[in-house]
Formats: sequence, structure tokens, C-alpha cells
Amino acid sequence: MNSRHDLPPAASSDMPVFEPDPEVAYTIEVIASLAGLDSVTVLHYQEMGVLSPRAGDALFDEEALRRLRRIHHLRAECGVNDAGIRLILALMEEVEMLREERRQRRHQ
Amino acid sequence: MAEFKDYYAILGVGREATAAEIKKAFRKLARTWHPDVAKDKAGAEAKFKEINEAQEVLGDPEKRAKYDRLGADWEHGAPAAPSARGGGAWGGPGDGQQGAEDFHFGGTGFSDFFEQYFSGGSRYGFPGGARAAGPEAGSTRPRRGGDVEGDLMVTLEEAMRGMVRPISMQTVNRQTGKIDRQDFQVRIPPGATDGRRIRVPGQGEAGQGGAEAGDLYLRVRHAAHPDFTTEGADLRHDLELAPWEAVLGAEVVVPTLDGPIKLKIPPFAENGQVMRVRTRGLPKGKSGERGDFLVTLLVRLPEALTEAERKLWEQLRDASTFQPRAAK
Repeated sequence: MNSRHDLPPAASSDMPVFEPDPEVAYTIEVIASLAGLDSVTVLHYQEMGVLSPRAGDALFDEEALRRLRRIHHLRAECGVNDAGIRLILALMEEVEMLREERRQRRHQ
Repeated sequence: MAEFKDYYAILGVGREATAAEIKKAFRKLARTWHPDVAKDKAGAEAKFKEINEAQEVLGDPEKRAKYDRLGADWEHGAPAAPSARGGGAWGGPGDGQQGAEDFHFGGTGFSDFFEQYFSGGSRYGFPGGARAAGPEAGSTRPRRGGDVEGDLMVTLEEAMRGMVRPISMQTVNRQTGKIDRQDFQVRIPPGATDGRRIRVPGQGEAGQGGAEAGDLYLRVRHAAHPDFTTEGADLRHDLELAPWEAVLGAEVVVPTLDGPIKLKIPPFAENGQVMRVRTRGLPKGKSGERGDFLVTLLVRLPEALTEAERKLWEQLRDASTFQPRAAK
């Protein structure tokens, strides 16, 4: 690959445009089906405390979907149990937070 | 193989430059090439993003060390495999070696070189590619494709207004070597905060056995701005003041993303004091609300004096009742 890939393609009218709704929110049934799971499983993760809907309307956002897929990946593909999932998610969150903090500090 | 980028040359500093020199060089160049200032807007924007990319690497001691090692390898014609990606520690999927497909982006604002070696997130999203390398690689059991992650450089002006960004994504299948290229556009919503992920459904890794493709997540990275930093929807600015401005109060013109405003500094402003100008930050979603503009006051002291100035400071010293070390 060479540097010409840095260049954006010229926009043209037949190019598909993705316009994700930044405030999209899913019910438990919808988020479950997007992750290929059933609502009972999602509810289980919610009760475990590793996945939570938004405060107020109890709907799930895009970050929750990403998180749900990760949780399921840990369980189904890596064979991690509930306690392990809790621990791994907490560690990953901390790493992400620290990385952000470091980045913020550098920009100042 | 991505083309090597000479970040030192881009910032115009030597290999031995200190962190402070790099920061200074970046600020100066960023000011010159800022798309709002330069005449040739399109050219300036590409240059501005290139400068930002160089800063992103050389401004971070860890990335800089890695870059220096890479550079040495490159000279010997044996670049290291881009396996040590940011997200790689999490067991496989973040590791560029394992996916069934390689991804290269265009239009993200970052070069292929940066994406291969320095992109912060795992390019292969978490539930991604490792499977293809597993025991079931040949299986036809339907499996959803992995999610793919990429960084998207967004200037603060773009984040302010929102925009539609054309992206090209090249997919190289590791087994067949087949190259696919897809062009599409993604709307970046106004007020997109740093670190926020934009999900593009179905543009991730291809599914197996008829299953659906994974998603593409583009993570917003605010380009460093010569005047502002962001904190969520709030915009921060450092304002340098002369001692008399801080003590007597002053009216100072400060830049904002909406254009310059006059800021009234109250008398006896403290060094490090933060002034809040409401609703001059980035937009907050669709509500029409906006974050705040936070100005940190930094009192600067002169580094040299004329004879006349020295006399005045001496007069002040002799007449002043100020006792900074007196018990309160």
C-alpha cells in the first residue's frame, strides 16, 4: 500500500452515505437481535451489572451494543465465566480511560 | 507495505528535539496551515492533518520511541511486522496478524503508515478476526464477521458543524490475496466528541457461511488545535496575561470557534483561574444545547526589561504594601 491511500475518494452522488443517528436507542429485544442473542441473555448481563441501559428511558445506545458483543464474545468464543467477564470489562475500561487521559494531557 | 513517514521532517525538527521544541514547532505549523487561515483550503487541510499525525506520534514519548526504532529498522530494509497494535494485548483480535482480512482506509485523515503502526484502538474489533485462524477456519458454520475499528481525524471546526466524510476502505483477503475496495460516505454528527465511536453497519469483516458482515467503528480523534483543547463538549483555551492585566483587570479579545469575543478579566484575577463562558463550546447532540468555553488565565512574567521598565518595577517594589509571605 502506498501513500495514495491517505487521499479521500472524491465524493460522488452514487456513493452510499451512512448517516448513523447519533442518538439512536434500542429496546432490549432490538439490541438482543442485533447481537444475535435473546432478551433473557441480555437481561442476565444486565443483572450481572456488566451492561446497563440509559438512565431514564431504559433504552440501550450504540456503546451498549458494542459492549454486549464483547461480553458475548468473551463468553461464547473465549469461554470466560461471569466473574471473569466482570473483571476483564473493568480492566478494559480502565485501560481505555488511562489512554484517553494520557492523550488529553498531551494535547494541553 | 505502507510508505515510511518522516515525522521529524514534517514538523521541521531534528531527531534530538526536546518535547518542548516539538510542541512549539507543532503550534507554529498548525497556526500556519490551519484550514481557516490558509488560502488554499484543501491543500492546507491535508497538510494540517499531516502535521497533526506527526504530533500524535512524536508528542507521545512511547510512540516516539517506537517510531525511532521503526525508522532504524526501515533503514536496514527490514521493517518490523505491525503486530504490536494498541489493542493487541486483549488476546488476538486486536493483533493485526490474526484476522482473515487486512483493512486499509483512505479519507480518515491518517496515513496508512500511521494506521498500521500507531492507531490507538484495535483495528480488528474485539469479536473479530481471530476465528479465522482458529481450528474452525475451514468451517462453514455461519459466523458473523468481526467488527473493524479505525480512527478518524476530525478538526474542531468539522466537529462544530458536522460533516459528511468520504471514506475508502480496501480489504485484502489474507488467504486469496483478493483486494476489494469500497467507497462510501459517513456523516459525522455536529458535536462529535473525542473518543466517540461512529458505527457504520455492515462495513466490517465479511461473514462466513452466509452470515452477516460485522460493523465498522470509526473513532473520532480531534485534531490538536493551536488555540483550543476539548473536554467532552467543553472547549478550553489558555489565555496569557501580563501581571498588570491580572491585577487591574482588562478586556482581552480571545478566539472561539464562533470567532473572536471580548472577555472581561476581573481585577485580582488569580494565576490558573478558570473563567467560564457559557454555550460557546461544541454542540451537544440534537438538543441545540452547547458546551461551555473555559478560559484558563495564566499570568506571565517578563523575561527582559528596558531601563524605564526596571525603574517602574523598582518604584512599585518600594511603594507596595503587598507582602506575599505575610501570615494570613
